[in-house]
Amino acid sequence: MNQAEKIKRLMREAFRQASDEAVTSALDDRTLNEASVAMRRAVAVHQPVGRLAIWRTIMKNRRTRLATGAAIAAAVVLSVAVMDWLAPPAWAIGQTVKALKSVRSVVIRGIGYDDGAAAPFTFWIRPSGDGGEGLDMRLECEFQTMVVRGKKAWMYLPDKNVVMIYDDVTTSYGMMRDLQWWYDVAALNPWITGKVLAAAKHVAEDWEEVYGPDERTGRDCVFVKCAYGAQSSFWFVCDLETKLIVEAKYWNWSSPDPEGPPACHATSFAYNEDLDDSLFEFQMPEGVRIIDKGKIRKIEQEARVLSDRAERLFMERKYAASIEAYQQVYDRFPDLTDGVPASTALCMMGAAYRMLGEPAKVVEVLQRQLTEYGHLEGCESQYYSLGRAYLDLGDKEKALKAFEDCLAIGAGRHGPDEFPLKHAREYIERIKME
Amino acid sequence: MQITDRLLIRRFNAGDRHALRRIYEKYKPDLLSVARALLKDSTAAEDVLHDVFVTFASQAGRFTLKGSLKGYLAICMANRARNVNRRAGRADPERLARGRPEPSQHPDCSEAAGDAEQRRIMISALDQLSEEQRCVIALHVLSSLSFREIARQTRQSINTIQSRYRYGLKKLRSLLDGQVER
Repeated sequence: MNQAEKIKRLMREAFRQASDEAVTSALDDRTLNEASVAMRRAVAVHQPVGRLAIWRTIMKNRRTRLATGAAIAAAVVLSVAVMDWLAPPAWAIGQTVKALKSVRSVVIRGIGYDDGAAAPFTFWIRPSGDGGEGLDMRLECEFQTMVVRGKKAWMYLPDKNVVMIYDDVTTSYGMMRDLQWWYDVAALNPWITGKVLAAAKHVAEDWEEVYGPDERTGRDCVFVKCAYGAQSSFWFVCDLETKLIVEAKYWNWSSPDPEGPPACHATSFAYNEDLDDSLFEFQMPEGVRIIDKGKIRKIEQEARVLSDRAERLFMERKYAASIEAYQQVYDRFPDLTDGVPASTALCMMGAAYRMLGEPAKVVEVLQRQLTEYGHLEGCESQYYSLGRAYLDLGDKEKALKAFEDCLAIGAGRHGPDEFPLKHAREYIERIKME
Repeated sequence: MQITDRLLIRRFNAGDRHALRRIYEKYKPDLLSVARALLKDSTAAEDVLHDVFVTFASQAGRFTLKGSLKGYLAICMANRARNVNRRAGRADPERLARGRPEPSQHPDCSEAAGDAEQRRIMISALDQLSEEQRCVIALHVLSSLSFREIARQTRQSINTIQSRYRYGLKKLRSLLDGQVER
């Protein structure tokens, strides 16, 4: 080993060993937590189309739409504090904040709207009865019963005869995603905290308030409108004497016009009712199918470990072993939806077969990937890889078709000069010239 | 870009926390090594890693990349470490101009019984290099970035990068003269 190589080795030993010692789980937690928050905010801001897609996925389901609407109606109670700095002296919203601090419970009744169809709901909320962080909540409507106790949640869907159990709503995905967003805020402290104020001040806009009597009660109220970006608007009524919210409406992407019908209308807010503990105890209906999301999370972790091993093998150019590991991921975890490891496994098997010079196998796994997971975003890359494999097999006709599919599906998702569109276009030109 | 990174970035842009975690876990060791080589203080290195990842995460939804993800992150680490050093005065021109230390200041490998001591010796030697040389050596040796990748990410010519590496390594050899023969 020459001197330069020895210096390099010394450097690697010095700094890599030191790195391993220094890497603490505290650093990982701190970095990943803050990075996750930054990522979530960035996706919401920078990718309106993606955010809309999430909303549409959630909202096309009537029950999740209702749950989301109800949760957001409750969020009004919290987010009202947002406008503190904008309130004129006539009505200092800080007074409402102060009033809310003494609130022990809220019961919200209202109507969620789904394409014009009304669905009444009741939503009970209180600080966690266990004395822990967060809230206890119960939502009831025709389509579902949802109970959140601390961090654990149960969602009963009577028409499917299913109960879904979430062990930690602050980390769950899918149907609970929006609840989680709101819960993140609420969990800082039940009801209002300075943190909520500080965090929310950055997002409210288009503040407008009108004073007058509430038609329903004749009491003096302030009527407030505000918006959160282009897709979400609130209107709420605050009683000037009690300083508490008495009515609220919420508009989202499905009904963005604040002059039109809302997505959710919280028609009444009852404060400080004595709520029985049993209200927040979920009674498991007989004969239901139970989906334990906590167990699914464990399975997801197993999938991740196996995927990591497969990826390491791929990076070490042990392609045959990598294919074997990815095959296990595909076989064992075909139904996981978070990250869809089975889909990734097929893509990676295609890449590994390509490295092994087996284009027929590439075609086989990529076609399977497109058949089973072609609905997922990003499949244009698989069409591109498929085209390459067909070229390797000498089948220009099928290659051309695959590259054209890549262009058609990827249009709008990528710039024309980005991968894979640029490369697919070049191959098409090349094939046509030949 | 590696195909796995391409998939990870796609998921990252969609707001997938698992993808973010994968990226972090995949590149953390190399990136932390680079930061520790460029900074005296290991806490500062961890802070730089934290800041780089939070900044990286804030680009989700619009992140595009032509080179390698590792290269991008490693250069971010190096840039941020350089800023930290500048704020701390480490990059003081006079200090950098001191050149080879006096014999009494020579790093002594005989003292390098432990890893911490070995690291101190290496940092001491690296500290005598110019900022640019130190950066190229750390990126190439610790993060395994090719000269071409470093050149692309830093928008320098590959010849410039190779020269910095060559002269930096030569100086390191001189500084550690005799020490690495054992």
